[in-house]
Amino acid sequence: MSGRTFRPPSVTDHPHAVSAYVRRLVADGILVSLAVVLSIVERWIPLNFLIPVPGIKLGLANIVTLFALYRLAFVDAAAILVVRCVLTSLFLGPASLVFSLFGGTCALLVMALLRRGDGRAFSVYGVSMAGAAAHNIGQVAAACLILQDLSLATSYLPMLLLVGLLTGIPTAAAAVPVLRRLKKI
Amino acid sequence: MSATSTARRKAPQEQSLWKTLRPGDVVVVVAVVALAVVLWSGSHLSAAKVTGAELVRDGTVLRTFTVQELDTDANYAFESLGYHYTIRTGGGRIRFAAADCPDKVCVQTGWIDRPPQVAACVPGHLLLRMTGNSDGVDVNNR
Repeated sequence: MSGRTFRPPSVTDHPHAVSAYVRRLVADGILVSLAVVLSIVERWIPLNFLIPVPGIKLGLANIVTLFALYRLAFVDAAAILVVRCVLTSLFLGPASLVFSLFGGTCALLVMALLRRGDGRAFSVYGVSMAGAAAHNIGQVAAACLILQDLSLATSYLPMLLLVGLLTGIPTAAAAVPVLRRLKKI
Repeated sequence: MSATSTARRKAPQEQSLWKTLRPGDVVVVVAVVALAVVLWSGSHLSAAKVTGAELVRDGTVLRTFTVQELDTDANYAFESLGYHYTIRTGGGRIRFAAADCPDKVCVQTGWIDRPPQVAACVPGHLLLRMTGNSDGVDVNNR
């Protein structure tokens, strides 16, 4: 990992610092494209046949957020998240932008918090499940704000929270082998 | 950061899932389940008598459906924020039957027939909810 700041290198910097910066920029770009693809692909998975809760999804793009949090830095994960949400809304329509940003930010903050301590307290599975729950809470909070009504929080959110525990497991299971093999980026 | 070596590194040994898990993971599961149960029991435990249904947009009631209307098979057309909806009643139930909104979550929700069930369409800011009362307990959490 190359530093935790987001300062572009200057000409007076050591060449190694410049190349590390470029490498990190490239990694972020690749992760953004991966996250956009995963956001679109997860729409094709008919999860509703397995779990009949309306509006649920696997949260595959969370694999990318997890990876960025563990192997890059918080700023990278946050930047990837925002760019991913904006790009995805260009493909899938702007209606979902507020929700993906709200839910994504909640998930990112919770996962960044639980990820501290380098996996002694929480494994990737716990972090992923908590992130899924936070994502659902953020989305329902956004929906409650838009509809100006709290009834979704009691009628819909409990189901979403339980589904989030289930969908958080395959996302973490996908992230774990990648994290184990890519120690450095 | 050192230059990556071209020598092929051995893939690390996969650990079993049970070795990977940490005590905090159990805390996460318990906390999320507890939150879900608390939210759910806050509204679902009181057995409410159905008094009808209402269609709400941005906190204002657009249309109230009486119990008699819910028992009659009928379709109602609504327009909200440029989207078009068909709301169907019958057999004491109500649902979004069709919609041209982007995500169709409202239609997927299906029939609702007792409080505090809701069907919501966030793009059109529409909320369809069952209303009821149970001995003075406010089941709508309003």
